[in-house]
Amino acid sequence: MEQVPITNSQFKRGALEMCVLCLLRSRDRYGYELTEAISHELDVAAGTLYLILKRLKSDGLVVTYLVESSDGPARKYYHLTDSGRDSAKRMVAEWHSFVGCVDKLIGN
Amino acid sequence: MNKSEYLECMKSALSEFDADSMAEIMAECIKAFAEGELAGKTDAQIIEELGSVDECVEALRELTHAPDSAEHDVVLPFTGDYADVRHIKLNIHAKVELASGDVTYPDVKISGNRKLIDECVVETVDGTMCLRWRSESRWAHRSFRLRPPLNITIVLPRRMDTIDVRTGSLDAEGITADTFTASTAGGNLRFTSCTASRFECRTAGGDIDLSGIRTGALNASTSGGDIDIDSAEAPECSLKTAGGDIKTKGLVSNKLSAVSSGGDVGIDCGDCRSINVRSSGGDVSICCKNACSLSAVTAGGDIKASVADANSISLTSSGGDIDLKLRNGEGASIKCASAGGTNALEHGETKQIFKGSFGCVVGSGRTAVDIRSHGGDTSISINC
Repeated sequence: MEQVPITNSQFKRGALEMCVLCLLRSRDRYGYELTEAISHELDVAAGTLYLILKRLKSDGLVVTYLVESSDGPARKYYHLTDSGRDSAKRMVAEWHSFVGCVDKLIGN
Repeated sequence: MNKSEYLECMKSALSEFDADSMAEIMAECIKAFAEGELAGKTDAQIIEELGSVDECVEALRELTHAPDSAEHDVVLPFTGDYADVRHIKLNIHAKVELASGDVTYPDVKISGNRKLIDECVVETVDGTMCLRWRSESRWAHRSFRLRPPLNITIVLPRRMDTIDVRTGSLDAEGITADTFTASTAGGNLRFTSCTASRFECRTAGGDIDLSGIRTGALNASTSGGDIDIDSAEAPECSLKTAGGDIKTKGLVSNKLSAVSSGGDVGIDCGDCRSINVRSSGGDVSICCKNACSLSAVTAGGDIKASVADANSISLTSSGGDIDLKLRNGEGASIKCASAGGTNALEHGETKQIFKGSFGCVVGSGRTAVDIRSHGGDTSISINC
């Protein structure tokens, strides 16, 4: 798949926030897993992801917990809270309606 | 810890990560300080909200390091092609160390994440050895920025034609090359005791430190960092930074140009035919023995120049003071103009202080002073 360059940082932030929340809907993940899942599709700097996770945590949309690992340092897992789950649902709905409108405007 | 200490500490801690990450996090911190200050918060409160530098670094490491992948050392196998290598190109994100040794072909050692190392390709085509990511790889350019950088050590034959490094931080010592080019998007460049007929280094995010460089033409530019030169021989020397300071010590050059958009410029050199310094925001200090022509312009700062002998000196500041000490300068043409500050000229045993803007010719038996003041008082005091 071609790389999708996203240059506008506000646009990227909003979309990435939603992506992170959605990745956590199915199961809890640790930091590197999130990185791997996202970087498979999008070009994103670690710093961007860090700021997003920090904001999601301070907004109470995710919480973290540590799991000891036998083959390395403890892993910090991210877990979606109820309000995170609600946000994800709302954001995805908004995203679809937004994309629908934009598609119409750009003639698709 | 106050705001500037925090930002400085954060910046240096983030240098192990990619330039985008650093830029983004620094911007976020600066924004938080601006908003916090408006809301009447103290530095300490804002820093507590931002979290400590260590927390940030640890979180970034968690995001970029696979927790269960151990570090591996790999020595790239030698193939016959390497024997002809005269050029090297590195296109992968890495901390690179170059060393010169008694080898007939480059000896390349990579350490880091095994999965990542497996994605590296070494090719040798027409005498050029190139390290790059496997293009078909999903880990190619798309995601390497999230990865911990690899560490690459390359031992080079005593003499190389071209060394060209594109990414990561670079340290090199004792390298001899015909052309040495290093350009990186994210790291610091540090070169010690290197010789090259052309020596070029560029970085978008880091500092440039050069010491013991011998070259015909030296070209160093950085968008975000400082340039520090400690002893270098470069008949032609051009230094440029958009955001940092420039400092030179023990530089031997015929033609020196130093340009800084935001920082201070401090030049300390021996004889130099032509010195040209420009700064938009900072102070300029120049100390040199003999200069045929010396020109310095700053928009916001002071200019301090100490010259043993010169034919032509032109110092211009829009807002600051100008202080010129000229020991001989017989027949020299001197122009100092400051729109807002004080001009002080000390020539040999005489001391002349000019306020306002002035241009004067100082020579034995003939001292003509032309004073133009654009606003301030004009008082002249000449002791001869």
